Amino acid sequence: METKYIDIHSQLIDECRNGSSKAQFEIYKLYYKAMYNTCLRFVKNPMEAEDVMQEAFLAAFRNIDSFRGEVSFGSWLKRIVVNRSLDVLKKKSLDLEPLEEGRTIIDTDDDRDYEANYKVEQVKKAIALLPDSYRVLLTLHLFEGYDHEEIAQIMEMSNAAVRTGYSRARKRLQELLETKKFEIWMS
Amino acid sequence: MDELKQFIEQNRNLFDTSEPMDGHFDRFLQKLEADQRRTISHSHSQMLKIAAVAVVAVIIGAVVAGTGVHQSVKLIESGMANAENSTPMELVERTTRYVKAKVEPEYSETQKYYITLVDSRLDEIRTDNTVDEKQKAELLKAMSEMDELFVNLQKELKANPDNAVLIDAMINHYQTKIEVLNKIISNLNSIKQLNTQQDEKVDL
Repeated sequence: METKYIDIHSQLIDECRNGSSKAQFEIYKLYYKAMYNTCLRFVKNPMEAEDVMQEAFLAAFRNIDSFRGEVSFGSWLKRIVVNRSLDVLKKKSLDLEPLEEGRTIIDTDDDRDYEANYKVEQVKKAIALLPDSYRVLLTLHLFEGYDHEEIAQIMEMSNAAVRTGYSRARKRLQELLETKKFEIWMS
Repeated sequence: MDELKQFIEQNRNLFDTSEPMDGHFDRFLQKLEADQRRTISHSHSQMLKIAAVAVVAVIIGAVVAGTGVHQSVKLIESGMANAENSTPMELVERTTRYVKAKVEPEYSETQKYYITLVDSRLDEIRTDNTVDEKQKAELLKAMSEMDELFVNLQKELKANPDNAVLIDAMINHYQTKIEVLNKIISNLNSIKQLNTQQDEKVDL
């Protein structure tokens, strides 16, 4: 089944190379959801996320010749989506310098036994509450699986800056997740 | 191992639940169509450029080889030597540079001149009664095939009126056509000459 799945895609991708708009729309239908959710985590605004996502698809089709299969088509496309999302944030003058550590933990909650669904919502909302710079760093690693070096390259930051920024962002997220106050916002 | 990262990986489908707003498929199809139109007209003009270069190169090659002008061959070869790394645009420019002398006048004037020239050559072939009718038909058919390319170039020029490369390609087209016609006529003449010589021999 796994092989068949890949075959279907590579055939579609080949058709995209020949400029078949039917194949391009098929690819869109296969990947839009994952790409849209990635966009949304970065740019937050649904209209903007859709626009970034669709433009990323068009750019991918225009430059499909530069896709040579070193990585999966999904990761290749994802990288375009990530870069375009970050461009949008940069245009809005995203503060790439990690924020100063200013907030403190108010209360911790030891009861971690949540339903997965509930926990997912918690993580989602907590991440959405983070400032742009923190959210981007965390999302690139936790959701998109880029390591610190790759993030440094994508964000045009030094490795050290990524490491410090990331650990601050991670700490802040943990605080948000563990804060009782936050749980009240959740309900 | 980062517990949170693991948790996200394991529940990724629960995280990626948002859907774009209704109508996003239609909006994407519209964008796709608009983009496709741009790409097609682009690749179409690229194709025409390549076709123009190919026709020019092949025909000139044939003409030059036929007449045995070694110097011209060298000139064209040097012009085509770096062809591999060139864009179609550069190729057209390079080919025209080596193939034709300077053509600077207004395009419409140039066109009139060439049309007259081509017509007079075509008439020469048409009215030549020493040529076999079948051969004549074939020759004229080959010429009309060349015309098809020219019609495409004209269409393209209508879409991009200021495209110097296209105008160059069109002028080139006329020039090669005339060269081909000249070559045909000279070949016909040498055949005629050969025939008369043989006739004379028989007479002796």
